[in-house]
Amino acid sequence: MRPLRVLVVEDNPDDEALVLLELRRGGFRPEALRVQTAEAMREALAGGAFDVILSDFSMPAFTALEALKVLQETGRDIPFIVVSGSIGEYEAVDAMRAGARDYFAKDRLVRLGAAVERELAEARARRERARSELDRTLLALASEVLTEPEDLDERLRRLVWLPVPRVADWCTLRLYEKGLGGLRLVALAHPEPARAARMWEVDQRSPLTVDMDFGPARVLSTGESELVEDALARPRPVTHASEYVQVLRELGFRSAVHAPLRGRSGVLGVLSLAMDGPRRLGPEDLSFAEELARRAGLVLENTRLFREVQDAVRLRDEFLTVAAHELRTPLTTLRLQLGSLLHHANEDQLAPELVTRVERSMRQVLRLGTLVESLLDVSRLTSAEPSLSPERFDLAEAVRAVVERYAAEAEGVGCELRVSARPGLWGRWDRARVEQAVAALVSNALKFGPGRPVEVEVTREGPVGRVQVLDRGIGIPEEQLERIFERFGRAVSSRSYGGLGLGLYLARRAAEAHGGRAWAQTREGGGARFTLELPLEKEERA
Amino acid sequence: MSRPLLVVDDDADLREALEEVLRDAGYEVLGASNGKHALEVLGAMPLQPGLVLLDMMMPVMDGGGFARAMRQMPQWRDIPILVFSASANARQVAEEIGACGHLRKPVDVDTLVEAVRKHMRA
Repeated sequence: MRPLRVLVVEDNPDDEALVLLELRRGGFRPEALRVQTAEAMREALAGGAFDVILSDFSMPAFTALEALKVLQETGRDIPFIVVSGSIGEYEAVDAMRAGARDYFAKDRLVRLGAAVERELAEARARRERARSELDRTLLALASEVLTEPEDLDERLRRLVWLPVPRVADWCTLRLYEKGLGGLRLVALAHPEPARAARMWEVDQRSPLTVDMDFGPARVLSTGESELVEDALARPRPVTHASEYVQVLRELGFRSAVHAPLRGRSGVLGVLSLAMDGPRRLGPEDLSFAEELARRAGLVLENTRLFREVQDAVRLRDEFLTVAAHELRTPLTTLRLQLGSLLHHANEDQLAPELVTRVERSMRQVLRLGTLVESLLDVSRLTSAEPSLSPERFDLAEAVRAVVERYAAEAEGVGCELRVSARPGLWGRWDRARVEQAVAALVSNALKFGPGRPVEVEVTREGPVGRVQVLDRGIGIPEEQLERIFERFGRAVSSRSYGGLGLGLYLARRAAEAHGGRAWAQTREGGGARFTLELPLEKEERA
Repeated sequence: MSRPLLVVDDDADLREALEEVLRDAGYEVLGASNGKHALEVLGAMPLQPGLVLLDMMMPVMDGGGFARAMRQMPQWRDIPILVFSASANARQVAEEIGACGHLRKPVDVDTLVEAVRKHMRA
């Protein structure tokens, strides 16, 4: 026998007994309340929950049609069935039109049980459809609210108002605070300001800490969501939280659901829904709260990751500033010392062998300097556009200066390093970056084409100055032509050829930062051709 | 008699290397290890320097602090400052403190001497 809460709208107790008998026969254990006026019916509906309403068609002071209106005023979806002694076809049609689900003559009640059964199932299906529709709408709104550009606290404050009052009377969001050892209430929604204020107050005075074994505090420690259908019926008494619990009782909390906001490192907070009066929350409310909490958790986690990234970038920049200073200072001293020694080589009559050694040391210091600059650049450039310090100079002259610097190295690897550059290719560029880019191309050519000639050509091509470096080295496979310009990109094994894999990457970044470009081609007959193009000064564009 | 040169850098080896190179180039050079020290040296110099070669990142008083303090003294206001910094935005720093130019570390002997010659006040 299944329990059934029935509201009987009927003036005759005998007829009520008849109807209830029929329901028992249909497998129900009815709990009935009988009313026969509009006021009594309103009161009954406000005070309790009913599964079905069975109504006489016509009573001395009330009718089924009026009863239907009363029901509709409440906005509740309760199956309404007319049970009448004398109901004609017209009356029956009127009742159905007004919203009754079915009608029965009192002398033919055999099918009543089956009809109630069907109506209960249909009502449940309607409620579930309406609920899932509501959940979908609210969750879509939640996603909108959570991704608004406002600050996070404001977004959370708006979020908790979404389920109130349609899903629950209360919605609260608490976030874990390490220093507090528990949860801090950050957002709360309740239609009555006074009750909301009371809740804020108790949370301020005695926040929920991890050791409390109930509600949000327990969700925080277990990470599992929880449905409390009836707090008063809780089997275990709640300890450690007497004041909190007392206030909850005073506020009339009966039923609640709590769901965790999860992050990578554990529970970030707890979202709760609660009811004031006799209405209970159920499994569908728990699923809703879980989904809402999941979305809020994602946003919270992302916000935190974003802050971490910002901090990391700031730290990196600080580190780079210090590293630049620490690395460049000793390099400066070495360069000045060795440079000064070389200047004095003649007057101090240094042995030629010593001069060679000083020169070799100087080359290594220069090389170290280039490496340091590449590393500092690449760490800085990966996130932002390189900042340029443009000055006006002649590209041909700059390329010649770079090539000159590599004369000794070229000789060392047996490369004939030839340069053809017509002077007068003026433009405004960052000299250090342009020289760095040209140096990367020349140094690459020497590295991969030892013993073969390397040619450097500087020409004007309409509005741009073009630097080409041609070698007869190992060449580049077609599929690697682009990859070698990537950061740490290389076409050969790092075991055979050293280097950081940064030179070409920086060369292209430098070219692009100036509005130019850099690319590589394979050469007929073997070897590679690297090209760097930079826009010339406007008046120079012939 | 040409004016002396004041070199301000906290790194002793670098400061001495700078002093040697510049002496070789024919300048009279005084050194200071930070901004505060540089103000003291400046106060004790009988003839104002023709140029201050100034590192930016230093303990006690950094390059920016020194430049501000020096500019507040009317008799020192017009001494040119050449910023000598390891920072990538040395040029911007130089503009901010009203320097006559900047050199980026590391630098070679010729570039250094050339820059000093260019900015030195007679």
